[in-house]
Amino acid sequence: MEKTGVLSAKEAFEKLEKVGEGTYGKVYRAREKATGKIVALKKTRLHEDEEGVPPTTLREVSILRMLSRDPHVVRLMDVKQGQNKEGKTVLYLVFEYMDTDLKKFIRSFRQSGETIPPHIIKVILSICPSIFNIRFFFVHLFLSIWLQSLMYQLCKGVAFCHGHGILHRDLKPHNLLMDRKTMMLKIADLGLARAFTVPIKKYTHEILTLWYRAPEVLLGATHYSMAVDMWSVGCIFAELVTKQALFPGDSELQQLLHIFRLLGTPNEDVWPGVSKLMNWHEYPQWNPQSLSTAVPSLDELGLDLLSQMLKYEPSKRISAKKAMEHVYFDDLDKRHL
Amino acid sequence: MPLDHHLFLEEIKMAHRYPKPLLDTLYCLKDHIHWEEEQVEDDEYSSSTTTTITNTNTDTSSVVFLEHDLFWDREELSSLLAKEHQNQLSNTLQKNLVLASSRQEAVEWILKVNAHYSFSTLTAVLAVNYLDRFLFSFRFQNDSNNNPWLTQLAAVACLSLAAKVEETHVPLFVDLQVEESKYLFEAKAVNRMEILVLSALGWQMNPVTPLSFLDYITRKLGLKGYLCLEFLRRCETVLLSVFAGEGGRMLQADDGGCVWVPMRRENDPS
Repeated sequence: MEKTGVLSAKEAFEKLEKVGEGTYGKVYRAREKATGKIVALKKTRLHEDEEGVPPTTLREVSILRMLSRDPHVVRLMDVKQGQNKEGKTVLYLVFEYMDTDLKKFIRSFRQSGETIPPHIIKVILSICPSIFNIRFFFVHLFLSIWLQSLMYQLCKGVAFCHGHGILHRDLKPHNLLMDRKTMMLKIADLGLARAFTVPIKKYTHEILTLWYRAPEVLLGATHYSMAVDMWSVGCIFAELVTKQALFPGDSELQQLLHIFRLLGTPNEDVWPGVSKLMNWHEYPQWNPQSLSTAVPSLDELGLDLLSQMLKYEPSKRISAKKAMEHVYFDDLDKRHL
Repeated sequence: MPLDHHLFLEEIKMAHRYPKPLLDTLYCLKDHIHWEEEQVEDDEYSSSTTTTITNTNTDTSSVVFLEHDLFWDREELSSLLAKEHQNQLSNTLQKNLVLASSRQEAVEWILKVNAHYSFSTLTAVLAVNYLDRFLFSFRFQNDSNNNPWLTQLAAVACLSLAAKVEETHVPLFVDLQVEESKYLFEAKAVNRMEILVLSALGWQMNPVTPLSFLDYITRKLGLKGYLCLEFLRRCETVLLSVFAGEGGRMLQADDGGCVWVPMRRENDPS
């Protein structure tokens, strides 16, 4: 199986440490022996008595082969076949290494206490600069500066995927890798991603981590499209600001109720066709609340963009490409993004 | 009358380029169209008598497309063309009749299993694409001891991979081999062949196919609702008949463009 002169995964890489569990296997930080380069190895065991290459691995590799030239999608460098200690066949996906993800990044800020809106920081700073703890000040200044950049990069990466006919379907902070030094953000873990064509076919229902799942999926729509990713982007946007999940449901019903309490219970007026969806029931009737109640420190332009990402009717939800053009990003320096 | 005449001429041209099965498919479609028209009339009648909004909403919602789905970009067509690879197996098959024969059997088998499980047209197109690329990459034509069973094993692996990429439910390897074949492979053999195929194809399992162009053309034409579904269904039927046609003609991706001409004319309201 191995070609002459081609190193097996074990010979080519030195494993340094396990850094996580991906959709279908373990992830290691490793060094390529020939170049000294640090990479991430994602390990997938193939059970030879079972059914071959898992669909998640197959889709992820194939889709990454199409997408890896965008700077905001994680780069797949190689696929290596090897054998583990028991002689079983193992696949290693060799990725560029990114030192953290958005989930860890957000958590590191959560520990530094309550959020203060950037515009208030500016006012207070101009009046009484000495009262602030230096670290506290820089933490929040840092985050408010980078919020736009991170969101722009996310929209750009998603627009690239959608432009190539790819739905991610599992966008969440854990799947958005980051480099702390450059503040670059990259979309990763495309194990649930799918190529789509018109007409959108019936897809598996069990996709998307619950907190970032679009209402049309929760209500049982099997024909869905790019809009499901934009709902996830909206949830991530809010979480970047507040450092808490926007809709942290612990069941599908609770997830829907979380959404309805903030955005109002949908009806045929705001979302034509909603009552025909498979999982539709009678729900408690809530009126919509202002998004500023959930994301109080986001400015007006940010709230407008967020509201367009969280439209109930999928066809009215903003696209990733249009989001990049939103005025919220007008004052962002995009030259290096 | 002039329209019918023009359509007939188009069919003649198509018949010259494609084998007889295509023309048969077009005739069959006409019969099918008649049945479809009757059904549509029934639906209209029932909805007019009941006058409930629920019925009409249900009918329309099942074929509603999101605006995003119909979005198209100027660069998209040139992007598809740039990514298209020429099918390089055609010339090889002309020189290796044994391989051509086993490939033909493999393609027929793929289409039968595809129909058995009601897989999508795209699954069949992908499976045949993988098989052709694999056969070319391994240059079986140079092997004087060419084994037909190897082509069949490759076909099983390619259909399995295509189903994994495209379908939501994939049968087990053994269950996949439902149609009669000279060989029945155990799971372990298919497993290993999958890896071999993936390595040979560089794991590029979302190639540009004729359906990619149909996707583009449908959105460009702005066809919506029932018309869109009908258009796509007919094009897919024609493409599958070309696959199954005499001689197992190699299908270039942009062949998806020429088969829609008669469909377009039939869909004209005039």
